[in-house]
Parts: sequence; structure tokens; C-alpha cells
Amino acid sequence: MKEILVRPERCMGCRSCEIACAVEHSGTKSLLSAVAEKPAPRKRVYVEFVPEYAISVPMACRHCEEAPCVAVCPTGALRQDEVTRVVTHSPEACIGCWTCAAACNYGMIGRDRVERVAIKCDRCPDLEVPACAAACPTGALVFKEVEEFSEAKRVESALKMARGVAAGGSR
Amino acid sequence: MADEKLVPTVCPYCALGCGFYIKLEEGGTGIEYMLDHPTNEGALCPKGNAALEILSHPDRLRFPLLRTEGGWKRISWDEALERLAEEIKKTIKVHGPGALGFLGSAKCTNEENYLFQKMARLLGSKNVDCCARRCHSPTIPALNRAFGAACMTNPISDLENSGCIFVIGSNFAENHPLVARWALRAKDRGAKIVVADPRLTPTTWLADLHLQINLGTDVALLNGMMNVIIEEGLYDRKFVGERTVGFEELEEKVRGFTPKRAADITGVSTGAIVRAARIYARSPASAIIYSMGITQHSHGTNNVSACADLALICGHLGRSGAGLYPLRGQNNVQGACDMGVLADFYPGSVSVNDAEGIRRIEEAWGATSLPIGMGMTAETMPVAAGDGNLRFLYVVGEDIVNSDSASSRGRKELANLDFMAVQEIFMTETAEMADLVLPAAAWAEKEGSYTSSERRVQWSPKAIEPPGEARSDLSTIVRLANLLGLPFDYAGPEEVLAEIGKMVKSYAGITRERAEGRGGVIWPCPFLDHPGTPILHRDEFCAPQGRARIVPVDYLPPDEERSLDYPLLLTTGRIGLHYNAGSMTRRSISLMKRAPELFVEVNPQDADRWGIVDGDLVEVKTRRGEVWARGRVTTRQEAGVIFMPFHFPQTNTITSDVIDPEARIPEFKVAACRIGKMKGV
Amino acid sequence: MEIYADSDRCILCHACVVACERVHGEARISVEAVRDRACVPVACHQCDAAPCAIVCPSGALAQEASTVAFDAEKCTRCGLCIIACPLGAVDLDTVSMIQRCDLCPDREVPVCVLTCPTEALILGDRFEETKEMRRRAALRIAQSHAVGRERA
Repeated sequence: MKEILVRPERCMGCRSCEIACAVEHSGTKSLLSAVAEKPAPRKRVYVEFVPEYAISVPMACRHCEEAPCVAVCPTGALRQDEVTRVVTHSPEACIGCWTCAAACNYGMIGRDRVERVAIKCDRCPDLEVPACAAACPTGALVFKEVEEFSEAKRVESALKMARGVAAGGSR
Repeated sequence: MADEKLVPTVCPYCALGCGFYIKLEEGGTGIEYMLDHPTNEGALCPKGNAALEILSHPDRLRFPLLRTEGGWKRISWDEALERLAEEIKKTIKVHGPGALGFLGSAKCTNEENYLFQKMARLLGSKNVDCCARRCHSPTIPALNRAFGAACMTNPISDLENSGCIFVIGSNFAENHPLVARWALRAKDRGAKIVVADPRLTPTTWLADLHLQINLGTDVALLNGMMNVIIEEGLYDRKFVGERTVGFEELEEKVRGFTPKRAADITGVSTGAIVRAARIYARSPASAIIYSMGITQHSHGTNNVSACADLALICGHLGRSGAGLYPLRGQNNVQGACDMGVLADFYPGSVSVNDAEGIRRIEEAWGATSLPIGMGMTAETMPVAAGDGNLRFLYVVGEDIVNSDSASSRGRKELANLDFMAVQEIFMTETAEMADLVLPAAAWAEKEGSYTSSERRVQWSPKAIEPPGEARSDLSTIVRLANLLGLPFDYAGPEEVLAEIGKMVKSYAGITRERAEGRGGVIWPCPFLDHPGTPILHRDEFCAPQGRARIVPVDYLPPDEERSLDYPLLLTTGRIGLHYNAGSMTRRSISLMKRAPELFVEVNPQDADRWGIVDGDLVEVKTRRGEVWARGRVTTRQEAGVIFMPFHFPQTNTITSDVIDPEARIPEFKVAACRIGKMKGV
Repeated sequence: MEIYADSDRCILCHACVVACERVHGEARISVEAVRDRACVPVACHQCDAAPCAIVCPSGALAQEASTVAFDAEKCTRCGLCIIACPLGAVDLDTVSMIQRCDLCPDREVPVCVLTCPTEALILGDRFEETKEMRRRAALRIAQSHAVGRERA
């Protein structure tokens, strides 16, 4: 299964992902008209700037294999797909008790103040590649299989090592 | 509201010295939180919340009681004190003052403790001690030798600034819950918490690294960590070179203590030991918290020395965020030790063998021949009673029958006394054995100062009247002393505090007014305008040439080991809802409701082997006897170890009575035992 | 406003329970240990779309902006709210009315929050806390990358 994976070292904090996410979850799905929608469309992905290290980290729901938010939901509003492990949320069943918000270690549960229900990443069911990953200009957010993702990183580090070895050899 | 009055007070339970208000209103008392207190910021543990429940308890002693053939007889205070004075005089006349024993209380005020030991010593008895013997007595010689001062080096709130908090032998989350507040604040700021504990406790839940060591192998772990730190060059060369002596001997001693060897003894992986050592040594400021898990061993003094050595070689002392935190037990155990209610120290840490120091005290007290030399300790007094060397015992606010190790033997020995007087708030098991019982006022019913674990001296004013004829210990001691012909003339506790200031250098600048201020004063406070000293050893140690002494120690196994007859090890400790011998918390409804009976925690493997199911009544037998307790099957400890809290009378009847040779503390923490399901239940 | 519990900080000390019992006569918060490995304080969550308020036939429980209000005079003690609450935060007191956290209305901060030794109970907007969790998670990720960068 493909996951939304993060490479913080590539993030430049442009927040394109946040905008793309809000637009994808708007009524009209178009940036131009979405800005005028009432209620304003809400994002489900968050870019966190960490001042201690001057790094921006794009944070998206991890869709944990054993998702704590699903485990604690008292009404079954949060559900997890048996196969894809995608965690989805049905607003009709939500009672706004926010136990899920307490359980999530990543702070990925948002609050819809008008409807009084939780909002969270649904991994864009209508899209092949989630909107946030598709919008990322630097490849800080990628939608890949974990194996693929690790392999890409391995290739990169192998390349670095190879460069080093080559540089040493030429000396 | 007009009909409401808030009286500030200091919590009567553990040694953290948390503040709260007693709210006096029509129809009763209540608790209000003291949000600006520097240690607890208003927060209170469950015991603090339930503290007032005991004040109005129907079991409170209200009148002096004399044992007669027909049972307890209510007598007047005059009769009671005259009888007590008469017994003391008679004992001195027949057996000499050496046959008198005095046990003070770490739950009474500084002023009461000071006068108590003064009275005992003026009568010529050197047998003065208190329950500090059973908790931190190893801390006193070990840290005096290392730093020249046996107390916590930094305030509790300073833990917030630590980069690493290394906890060994302390379950502070249950026993000193407010420590967890500051430890978690440090964790929020990126600090690592390393906990060495044979059990899984709420404290280990907070840990980044939990070293589940075998019982009593603390020195092996610490030596192993020091080996890593020295081998990898992680120790603080500058600090070691400028401020300590004895590093070479330590280097020699721990050279053989490879992580592999330490791992074999402690049962922790080599990697975990190396990691713990690196985290502790590399952090910019690391603190060590230790408690009864370190001290209550037959080699408790060695354990404390090893902790001090670790802090010294890494230079984690004398700075904010660093330091050594011996978490003390009772609300005034630090104060009782400062006041000299110890068989080995006069007030102000003057050794009982220091003839010159004692001469100065004689001058100040206007006395002539104060006793010199070590007296009987809390542990040896019952033994001496059994031998007939001790004929009279005066116990203030302590339940020795329950808190002494192997206590069923102690009970027999105490019965051998000619006369025992007990001054208490409840009819404890010890009081039930006494010849005379004097009712005492509880903490909120009298005034005086208390010294918390962090050396904070705080004044606790009187909030309510004591029940019946109960009186403050101070007034009882003064009246008794007067009957004995001692010139005790004090208008109130503030006058006693002023005298303490003259005798104990670090209290010189502490007056009632200063101690009344929010958060009081942290000693040493040598003169009136001195702000107090939250962090000790900043520039130099109180030892010769200002240098700390590194004392290398050897690993020694606990006295009792597993055998065929006794295949398990029993360890004891406290739980969050109860306090020490339980004479207070076992009378507190809201606490008893949640922890009603003695239990024994057994690992599922052991439970299977001996056919025990959760909830069974389990018989626990050691070489000293057997008791029963409700079985709890849990993985909180590994197979081969069982745990019992000591808040209920049974536990200490079976604990080991082997003592540390120097500090004379019994090995409460390890006893070989066997278990079985109670038959017929 | 609600009482927010951080189970990572809870040490199972029961201070909140004892304090609540002291003030209300019966504890309206409980602390449950889970397999001796962790513990969680549970009190009313002041749900945003509260089932107890939805089922209440007499209007004693009513949804408000950020809490659920309770009017004892309207309560008929029918117990529907107990059935409806998925968290078990409503209890029927044998002598008086239903027992449910009222956030200690005569105080600024409820006693359980005041007394909690480890600041595991927080009164506030849970979403401020959610932000804090996000910040901490981002900090952890950034830390690991920064270490790599420093050493490189």
C-alpha cells in the first residue's frame, strides 16, 4: 500500500500542500471558487515550523496500522479499512467527544466548529495521488510504497558514498 | 466570603513540603489549593487531598491514658506527667541514664525535636534516635564523607532544568508524586529519564530507558556505568581535577567492572548499561534521584557512595539542573536530623565523638557533662530492651512496632521494658503496648517549623484546636522537663527556633517571620539577610580543602539469597494511596476505599507454579514468620520476585533484620521467601 | 472548555478522584489502570454533539457552546443519559441527582485540574493541545534530521 511519506529536509514551508488539501475538500474543488465558499473549506494536512532546528515538517495523518483514534472512538465514527488501513471518519456518527484528539500522538484530528464534528485526512479517495503530495513542488511529501521510499533514500545515500569514495580515489 | 478563613499549612505526609490552605468555614474545614507555592504550585497528591480526614477521626486520642490491670484508665495531665517524671527519675536512680531511651519523630516540628533531644541529653542519656534510621541513615555517613553535607543538593523544582534525570531505587511517581511534575517538565524540554528499578512502576512509565535490575545490585550497575564513562572518557576531567580527591582509586576499582560483568550481575543488557551511562554523562546537567531502594539494604551506605561517585566524576553537582536528590520520607525528617535527634549527632551535625563540639554545646546549654559517644539507635533500642539494658522508652509520634523490621521479635523485646510512654495522635500498635499514652496535637493543631527534603524551612501555623485534652508535643515536653528540674523556659516555638539558630549554623538566619513567608527559607541561611541557598556546593564542598571525596565501593550481594526452601525474593515499598506504617492513611476513608487491604504482587509465572489465582489469599513465609495477603497476579515484577507494601502491620513482621554495618539500617528491601495459597480459604 | 487528559503524564495517583470526591461527595472522575502499563483518567468530555443532551427528555441536560449544562430541577432521574453516554461518564447517585462532571462551576479551574501533580489534566480547548501534540511530533522528526545534519 502506498503511504503519504515525509522528507522534512526537502520542505521549504511553502504550504502548497495545505492549500491543495483545503481545495480538494471544498465543495467546488477549485481554488478560485473555494476561497469564497461558506463555511470556508478546511485543510487536513499541517506544515509545522520547528524553530529549534529551523526545519519545516509537513504533517499528515499516518493512517497507523493499529490506529489509536479508531481504537478509542466510542461510536464507530472513525473506521479503518481492513486492507488499505486508511482511517476514515463519518460525521453523522461523530458526537464531538474528542477522545480521538486525545489519543492521536500526531495531533492530526481537526475540529469543525460549525458541524461540531472531527475532520481528518481521508487520503483523497477520489484521487490517484492525494492532493497534498501531488501539490508538493520539492518532493517533501511523497505518495509511495514504504519499500519504494526507503529504496529511493538508499539510492541517494549510496550515491553520496560513491561520490565520497570516488573523491578519495582521485586524491 | 466573610465567614471563611484560609490558614496556610504544610502537608503532613511526605518530605516534599507541599503547601495548601486549610479553609475554616461554618460547619467544618476544607482544603484550598496554594497556587503560588514554589514546590507544588497548588497541586496535591491524594494523601494531601485527604489530609484533613484524620483530624476529626473518632479514633483520635483525647485524654492521657494509664495502663492498669483493668485496662486503660483516663487520668489527668498532671497525674500523667508526674508519673512519667517519676519513672524517669526512678530509672536514672536505679539503672543510670544509660537505661533511658528516647525516640523522637520526623513528623514533629523542628522545635519539638530540638527540645526532645535536649531534654534527653541533659538527663544524661545518649540514646536518642528517630525513624530517619529506617529510611535515610546511609545517606548521612555516605554523603557527609563525600560532600560534607548529607542532604539534597538542589530544590525539586530545579529538576525542570535537567537534561537527564537518573532515578535509582525510587518510585517517586507513587511516593513523591509532585517530583513527577518537575521531571515531566524537563521531559517536555527534551530531557531523558532513565529509571533503574526491579519493578515496573508508574515512575518507569515516564522513563525513556528502564533498567529492570535484580534486587540489590545497584552498586554493580553504578560501577558498570562508571566503567563506561571512564573508559569512553566521558567524565568531567576539570571538575574531577579541581574539586575532588580519590579519582584514581575509583578508576582502579571500576576497571574490572566491565558492562559485561555488570550486565551479568544486574540482569540488564550490556547495551542498556552503556546507553544509560552515555545519556547521564553527556547531558549538560544530569540529576540523580534515589530513595529507599538504595538505602534499605545491608550495604546501603555503599549504594549511596556509588551514587555520589557517579555524580562527582561527571561533575553533575553545584549547578542548576544537576545534583543528587535523596528523596526523604517524612515531612520533617530533614529537620529532625538537623536538630540532632540521632544517636550519632548533636544539633548542627556535631558528631557525638567530637569532644570539642560537645563542650561548646555544654556552654550554650549551661550543662556540665553531656554524654559523649554513640547511643542506641532505633534498631538497637528494642534489642537492648530485650537484653535488659534499656529499661525505659519514651516514644513520640512513631509506630515502631509496625515500622521496625522483623517486628514480631521487636514486640516481644519491647514487652520487657519497665516502662514505656508513647505520645501519639492515634492508638497505634506501639501505643497499645505502652504503660502511659499521652494524646498529642496533630500538625494543624499546633504551630512550628518543618524542614522539607529540599531543606526548605516553613512555618506551619495553628489552624484548629486539638480534640479533647490533646496537647502540642512542645508543651508536653516543656512541662515534663520542668518537672524533671530542667530549666526549660520558652514562651513559644519562635523562642525555641531562635535558640536553634544559635546552635545550628545553617539555621542562624531563619526566624519565624522569614519561615512564614511563602515557601519559607532554604538553609544554609547563616545570617538574617541571607536569601537562603537553594543549590549547594556551587563553588566548593564542605569537606577538607573544599574538595569532595570519591569513595570507591565494592559490589556486595544482598544478605539473603534464593534457596530451595525460600525460592523467591520479597521486596517491599510504598503505594501512592498510603503512607508509611499507615496509622494515618489507614484511618482516612477516601484512601482506604481505594486501597483497603494488604496485597502481594506475584508474577504470573510464579503464580502458576504455586497455584495462585488473582484475588486468592496468599501466605508469604520468610525465615522470620508468615503472613497472608491478597494475591495480585501482575507482570509488574519479573518472575522470582514478589512485592508487598509495608503500610499494613503484617509486612514488617517478616522483613529481614540484617543491618548495614555503618548506618545500621535493616535490609527491608530483600528477604528470601516462599508463597502458597492459604488453605481453607 | 473541557478537561483534557494526557495519559502520557498520568501516574495513577488518584489525586483527582480523591479531590473530586471531597468536593462533590462522590467522585465524577475515575482513573483506570490498563494492564499495569498505563493509566487514563476519565471524566465527562463535554461532547460537542452530546448524546446525553440529545436523549434527555426533560431538557435537564442541554448542549451549550462548549459544555453540556445540567439543570437538576428539570431532571427526572430517568437514566437515559446513562445509557446514552458512550464513555460511562454519567452515574446515578442513589440519593440525589445524576452525577456528572460540572467543571466545578463556582471555581475558575476544577479541583481535579488544580490538584493533578503532573499536569496530566488540563482545562482548556483540546485543540490547543492538539496543536501542541503536532508541535511535539514535528519536533521529534526535526530532531532526528537535525542530528543527521550536525554530524554530516
